[in-house]
Amino acid sequence: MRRGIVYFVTGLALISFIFTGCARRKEPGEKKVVAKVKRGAQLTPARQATPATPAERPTPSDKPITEERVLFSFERNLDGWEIPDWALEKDDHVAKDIEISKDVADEGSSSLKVTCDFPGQRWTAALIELEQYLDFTPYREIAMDVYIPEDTPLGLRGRIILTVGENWKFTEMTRAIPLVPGEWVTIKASIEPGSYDWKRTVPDESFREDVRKIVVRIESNRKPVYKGPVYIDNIRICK
Amino acid sequence: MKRIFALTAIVVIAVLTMTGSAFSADKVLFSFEKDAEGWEIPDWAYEQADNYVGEEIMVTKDVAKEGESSLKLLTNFPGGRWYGAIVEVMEYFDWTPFSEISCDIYLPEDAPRGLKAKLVLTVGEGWKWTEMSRSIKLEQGKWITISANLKPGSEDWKRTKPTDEFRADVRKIAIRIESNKAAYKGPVYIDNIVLSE
Repeated sequence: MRRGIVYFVTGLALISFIFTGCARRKEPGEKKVVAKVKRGAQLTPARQATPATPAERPTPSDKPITEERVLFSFERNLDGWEIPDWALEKDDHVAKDIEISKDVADEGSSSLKVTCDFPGQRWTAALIELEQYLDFTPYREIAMDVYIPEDTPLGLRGRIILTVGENWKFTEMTRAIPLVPGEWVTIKASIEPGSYDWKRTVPDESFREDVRKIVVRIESNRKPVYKGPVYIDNIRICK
Repeated sequence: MKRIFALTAIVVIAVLTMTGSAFSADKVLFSFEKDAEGWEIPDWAYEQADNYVGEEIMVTKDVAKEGESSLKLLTNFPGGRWYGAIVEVMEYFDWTPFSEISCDIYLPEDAPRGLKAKLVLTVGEGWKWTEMSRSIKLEQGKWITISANLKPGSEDWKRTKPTDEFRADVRKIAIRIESNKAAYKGPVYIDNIVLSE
């Protein structure tokens, strides 16, 4: 008897589910969503992750550099390079003096000597700059050579910063290049439209045609402690 | 024989001395030995007193780079932002054989750091204002030479690549003293405006 009642109730429940359905009731006018997406089919623009297409970002040339023009060789004088007054007033900027020196040279017989005093324990930098209106068109790269003496501890890095355009935009290289004690290290960056070498900046054609300052910054990020010279030579543009 | 040798030596020395001065590569345009030679603070600069702070010019014997006197420009830089003090002379020049223009500027010992100077030329039919691509730092208690290359292709001029026509038709020379931040009330001295081959 009990078993009959159980079968009867179960049967009623099944009949009820079959007729009403398990899912929610379909609203009037609602169409069935087809979840199946054909492999290789394109999503609508609204659903794309919007990556930049190659056409939107110009691509720097991969042709070899064949021509260089030296802007500053530091053979006779400083050519206007200086430690800016604002840097002399800041305690995290540690360039003390700048002069022409015959101690070492990458080309010719002299170079620019920056006397620094990195205290360590925190980020400090030695910064020198030249303020001059420059048009680097059609050159593709800016480069310079930096030397630290053999007894310098490891850890110093260098980067180029350009101030560009009407707004004097401070544009630094995306990465600082490690300096090697006892060796000339070349620091270079592409100035072509589309270059990836500049932090938070994608250069366009106007970038290289209105350069207002060239800055070189030597950095110590907590390490090393170093008191002594850093030499810079052969600041050039290349194409 | 000795006489002939001595005479020859004298003649050679005399000729060398004469040719040295007669064919000197430099031409002094303005030495300010007698008067201001036409230099003035332009009226437009007086009218732009919120940016231009030159007050007066005069010839003085306070200091001189060459000779006994120089041009004294009295300035009053309030500081805190960019200000300039400008002096100029209007004259038609043809500098065709010359490759460089320069002048000497002196800042007194008690002046602050941060003052700079540049040359500005007005050139050609269009009276094009052409300033140097960079300003030169002045130093307290020292004569500093400001120079700019005039030759075709020179990089020394802002947004201008000189041609031969550039130096053949110069209509004004101006000297602008600039401060981006420093406050200073006092004189700046200018002397020895020279063309070099």
